[in-house]
Amino acid sequence: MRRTLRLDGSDIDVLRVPFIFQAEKDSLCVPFSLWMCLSYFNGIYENSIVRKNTPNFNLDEILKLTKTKTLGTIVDTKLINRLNQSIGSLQFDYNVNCCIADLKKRFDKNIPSIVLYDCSYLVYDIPGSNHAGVVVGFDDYRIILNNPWLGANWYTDIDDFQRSWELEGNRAILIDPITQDRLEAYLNEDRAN
Amino acid sequence: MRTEQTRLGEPPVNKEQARAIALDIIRDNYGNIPYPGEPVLEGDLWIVPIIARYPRVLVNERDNLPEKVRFMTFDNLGKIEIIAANGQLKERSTYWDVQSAINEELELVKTSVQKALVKNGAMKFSQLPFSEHMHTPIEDILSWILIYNSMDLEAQQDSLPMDRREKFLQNVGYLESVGLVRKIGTTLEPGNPLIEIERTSRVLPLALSNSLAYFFEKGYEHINTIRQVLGPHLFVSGAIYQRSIENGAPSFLKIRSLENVMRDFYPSQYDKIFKLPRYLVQCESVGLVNRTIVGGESAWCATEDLFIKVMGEEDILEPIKQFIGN
Repeated sequence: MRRTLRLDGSDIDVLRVPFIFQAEKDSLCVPFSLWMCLSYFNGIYENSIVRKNTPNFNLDEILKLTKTKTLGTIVDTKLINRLNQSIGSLQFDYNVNCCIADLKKRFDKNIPSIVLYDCSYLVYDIPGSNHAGVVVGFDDYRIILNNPWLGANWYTDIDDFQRSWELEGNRAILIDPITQDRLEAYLNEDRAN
Repeated sequence: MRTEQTRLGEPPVNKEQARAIALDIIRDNYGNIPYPGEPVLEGDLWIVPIIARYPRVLVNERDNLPEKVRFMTFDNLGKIEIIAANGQLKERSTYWDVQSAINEELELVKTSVQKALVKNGAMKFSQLPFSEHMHTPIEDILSWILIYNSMDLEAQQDSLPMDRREKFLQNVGYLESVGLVRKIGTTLEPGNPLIEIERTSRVLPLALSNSLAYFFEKGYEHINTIRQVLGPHLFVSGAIYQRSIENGAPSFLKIRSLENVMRDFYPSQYDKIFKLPRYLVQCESVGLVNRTIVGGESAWCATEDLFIKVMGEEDILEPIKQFIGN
């Protein structure tokens, strides 16, 4: 589920989330980020139940779910509900005020997350454009994203990223695969209570 | 004391809070592309303009991978009014207002490039095969004048169906505005430029194409009419030059990208995709674009000389100068 990248002289493990370039569709970063995550859970993720039950949606099917238009995507609980109703193998959660530690924990469990940050600020220091990307890796001072605008394994300084993320309220779409193990843990917890 | 006075003068919701409230409203109601501009306090309301830094991803077509992203700034797409006393939303532009404003801005970019291209590629466009657009009204009028020397406007109008009469007069007006024809009473006569073009062109087809070139060069502002004349040839070449302007150098688009251009302009005319290769061959034959092979696929590139001329049109390209050469 991971591969090792050589970045500026050091080796970094990243999740093998397939990169899908958002060519000529400039306002579709949320659907493309979602598409990358679904492709990962459908084709790469270790748990065969999750792989088998994650739909292999095409872009049109994803756009029906996200309802994205020229103004981009409205990311809210309604979108999350639509995703949860349509994709049974994954539990989606819309998290405002998320933090790097949360993203790292998920990465440690080989789970990618979708972050919503101000890419215009990150690249040009001018705030103004919310952008979605898929978190695929970390090292001590860098975060690595599959950035639908700028490419696979696109990395930036964590502090810089944090500033651009704060501008957009540290929003993230978090994904939890629904595995047999998790279901059993839930049942055991239920019995214990 | 000074601090106290400042506090007394400030509304309960300050500018940054107003902007943050507006950001939430935008994200919850419009999408992730718009953004709140600088809030302005008017009476007891914060007026927050809705702006956008619209992304344009520049692609390295050789490997079809993104190279960089640029942002086109669109101001005043709408507004959000927030009550300064309590931070409540008073009123906001509708989703459709904002979407339509952004679409207009995107259209303006395409139009600006097409105008600059038509003006500078006028002679090349005029040499496109007539069979593609021989029935367009502009050419009908020019051809008539070249052959009959004058046109009785009233009689001509009477011969047209009612729904085409207004358009006919509009086209006469466009030709008149660039001097190719002149009205004397109800008679249309050749204007001085058309007389000169006819004199220097040995045969009528050449006179027609030269007068069209003149119309394109002088009348590029009437881009909607010129679009009717040049249609798909202008759309595909315009897309190639827009990409080049965004990249700051002559750039190419692969055939798949150009198919998408056709789909955008002709959403329900599937035969345009079938005809696309011919349009491209024709554009290449008159020197508007060059064909090249990239990764085993055909791609079409802006020509160096025309690109330089188009880029020199600073006034016409004013609306998109923000991302030229960034």
